Amino acid sequence: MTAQGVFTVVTEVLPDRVEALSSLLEDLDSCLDGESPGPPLIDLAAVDTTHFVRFAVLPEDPDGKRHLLFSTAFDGPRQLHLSELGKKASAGLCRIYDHCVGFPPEAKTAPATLLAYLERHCLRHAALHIGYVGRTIIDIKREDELRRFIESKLDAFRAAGGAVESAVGCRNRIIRWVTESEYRWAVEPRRNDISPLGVEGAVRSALLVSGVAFVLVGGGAAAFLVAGLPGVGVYLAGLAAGAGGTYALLRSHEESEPAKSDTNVVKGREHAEDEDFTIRNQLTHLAYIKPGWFRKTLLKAVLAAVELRARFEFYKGDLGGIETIHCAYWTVLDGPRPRLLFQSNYDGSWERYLDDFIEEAGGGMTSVWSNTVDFPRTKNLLNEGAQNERVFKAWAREHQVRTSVWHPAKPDISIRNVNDNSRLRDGLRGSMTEAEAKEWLRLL
Amino acid sequence: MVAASMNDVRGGTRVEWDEVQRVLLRGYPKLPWAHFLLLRVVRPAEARRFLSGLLGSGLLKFGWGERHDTETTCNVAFTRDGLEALGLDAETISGFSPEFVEGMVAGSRPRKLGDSEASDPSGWLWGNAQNSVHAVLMVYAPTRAARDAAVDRERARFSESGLEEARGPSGEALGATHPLPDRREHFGFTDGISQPRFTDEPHAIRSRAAKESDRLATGELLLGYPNEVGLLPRSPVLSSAAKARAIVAGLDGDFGRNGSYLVFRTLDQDVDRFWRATKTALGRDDRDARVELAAKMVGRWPDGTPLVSVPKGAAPHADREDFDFAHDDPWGQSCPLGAHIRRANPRATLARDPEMAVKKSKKHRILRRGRSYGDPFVAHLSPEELIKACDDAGGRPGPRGLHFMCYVADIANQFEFVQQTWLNGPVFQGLHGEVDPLAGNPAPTAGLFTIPGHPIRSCVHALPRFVNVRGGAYFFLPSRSALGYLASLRD
Repeated sequence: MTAQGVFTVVTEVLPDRVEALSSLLEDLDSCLDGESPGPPLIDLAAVDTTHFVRFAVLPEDPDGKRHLLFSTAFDGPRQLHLSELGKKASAGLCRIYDHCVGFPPEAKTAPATLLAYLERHCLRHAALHIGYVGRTIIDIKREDELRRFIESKLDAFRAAGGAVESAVGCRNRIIRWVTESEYRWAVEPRRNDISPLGVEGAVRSALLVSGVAFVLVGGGAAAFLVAGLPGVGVYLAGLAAGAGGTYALLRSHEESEPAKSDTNVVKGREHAEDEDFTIRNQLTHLAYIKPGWFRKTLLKAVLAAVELRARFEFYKGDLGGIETIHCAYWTVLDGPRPRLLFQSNYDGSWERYLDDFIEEAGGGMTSVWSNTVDFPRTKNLLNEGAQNERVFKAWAREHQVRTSVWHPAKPDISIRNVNDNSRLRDGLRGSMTEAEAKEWLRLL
Repeated sequence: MVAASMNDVRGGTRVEWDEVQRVLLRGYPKLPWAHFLLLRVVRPAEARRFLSGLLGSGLLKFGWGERHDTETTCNVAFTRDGLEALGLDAETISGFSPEFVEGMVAGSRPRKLGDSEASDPSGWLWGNAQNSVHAVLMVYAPTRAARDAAVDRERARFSESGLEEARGPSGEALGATHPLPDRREHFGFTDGISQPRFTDEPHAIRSRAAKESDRLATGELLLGYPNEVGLLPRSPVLSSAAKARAIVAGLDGDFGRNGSYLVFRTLDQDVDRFWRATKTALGRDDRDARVELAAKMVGRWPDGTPLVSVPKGAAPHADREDFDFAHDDPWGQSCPLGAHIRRANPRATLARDPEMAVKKSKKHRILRRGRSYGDPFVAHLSPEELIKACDDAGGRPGPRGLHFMCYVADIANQFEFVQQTWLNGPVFQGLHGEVDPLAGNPAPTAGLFTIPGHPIRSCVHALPRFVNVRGGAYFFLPSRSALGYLASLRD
């Protein structure tokens, strides 16, 4: 079954090659944007299993090392996407990875070696949300072309004095136009081998939940076997004490940890300069996880819960009520001082995106990021935190990472457009009543 | 609710109205003649004395005043450069919002606001690097003669007060206004109908009661009070050394309290191009259809009747305020989804739950106080007269438009949000690449405007840009005490 996913690679950059790498990436970005002449180092348009590509040089870690982040969102299967990268982008990728530690020189002549290197440094995400579930980038592009085709046929028909009868009549006319054109593929049934995002992800989450349930129930059963009903009572009391203790520990952390409380943006205002060239924007965000086992474990648990909801609930299109996200995911960068990496591609302005986070998913966002350093004061894991709007926004800017290359395959349409285009296409099949046709025609 | 830690939420948010400059509270309906004098501070000490004199003269008005005031009135606001020129310290200035500190023309802001090509700041008459502005002295008067007399009187004092007036590149005077009949703007549409209102405004000051959806928390429009989510807007606080002096001036450390941000943009309106475009778009010269197309672009008929209330043909008695899109017209069949008033205030369409939607829309309201400038295209601004003058090439020449002014407590989340995400948002409400046909920047799109209809929509293509920006800046409207503090500064 085809799956959609993300591929994230983090590699250490050779200390004296950081500048050269940044400059190479800036060149790639301006070639891709059409600002510089000449072919780009990597012709990302040719890799047609990619929704977007990102390169960023992450800020220094505690040991002074810099890392290169490379990520793609792809239409699967994963191996196909990687082999396509190997076939079409290996020269450019080799030039880039030449700046990184441990890159084998022989990879330049053997794409398999390049891919092996990337796989070695690939990180699995902790939680992932995709808004365009079930539609490949090719689907997205051609469904938009289909809509434009129908719109222009309609305009021409009206301009030529064509009379519009009923909604059903209009729909039939449109179906006829489409069937007689090069868009006749649209009236065929949709390929249904695109799974709603990773059977693998769903299975993992299900296993996790089953595992936890098994341990809890198993513990109770064991207590019963050993000491009967009183044993179960002691077991339950133990669980309650454990929960109470955890809560107390959480509160004591929340009260005592340093937290941002002002609305000053100490750094990061300049990221605004890279935004709003099209309706699509991106956010690469990196924050240190608060020290200690408690916060690290709590973060992993929260991310597992987000992943669970994403697999079983959010896959329908919106991340907890936010309908403007194309792709958003969290990755933990392990180490003596671990960091939480967040990457997102969304519609509209940064200001509006964070407003949506605060309004629709404020509790969820707080539960994730309150485990990172300097996050605004939080209560009970979910409250306050991101609700403190101006402080939260200032904090978010301060931890944003300069992204050298960010290239979405189709930046000029929103997730809502994508979904409306799919609904338009799907409405070309089958029959509709007058009322149904009227509703379908509203998509135009 | 959490309070921003820079200022504590004061118990009982009784608003200190007498500290607030009156232009924020009243639109001055009895003072139709205005002039916005754009000034630069040349010699700070003399300018501060001028400000002091202004405060003492009683010309600057504060508080609500009386309902039928007809006395000539002034109000004053400053840009960041202006506050700096007067001597306000850098630390206090850094406490203002980043948009105000950076200014309207800095960095990527013109791109986000749609100020490109004919609206690019390089071509502005004021507010850009070539002609920066420090302050605006807003004069409001009941008659043209009273206005001119007041302006001449103030102008005569500028040179001895260390102030100079900013003039256009060819020396032209800037900032005069020309009131139009029936509260219309130059395209012929009644303007300024929908306004937010303060929750605590005194009774009997206004002729009509406020709709619940228009009532805003004080902190949406005034600094120093909680906003719609119960937080205090970011406000500049005086450093401790400065505070010592401030107590003398009656200011309690919070320099921004009882003040507000003023967004001022001079918008040129090409009336001829607008009415000609209605003919081009329709491909025929049907006067009624042209007026209807124009109404579809605006979202109201020229007399102000909302399309939602009366889809076909205006009925003057319809309540111009009593409608909602979510309830009355969710698919835009009466008022198109991309029409100007729908973009400027989507009302209850921002969420599936109408109550949630109204709460959301209250976070992005602006209080408008703009005034028209320039000779009207024709003497009588009815659509018939306008169309006739346009077709006969008989319209009066020469620049006209709107000195757009609005007051907000949060420039980014209120003014810039509406401008960028709604007016110029190409995917607003699920549209596919179109912007506000009246006031938007069509450059990134193909000038498309979709008019939903039954059973199928109509589309207009290649609409040109009718409104261009000719000047602008972000100002701050200080409170009475803050003005007193400014006047008392030393070099």
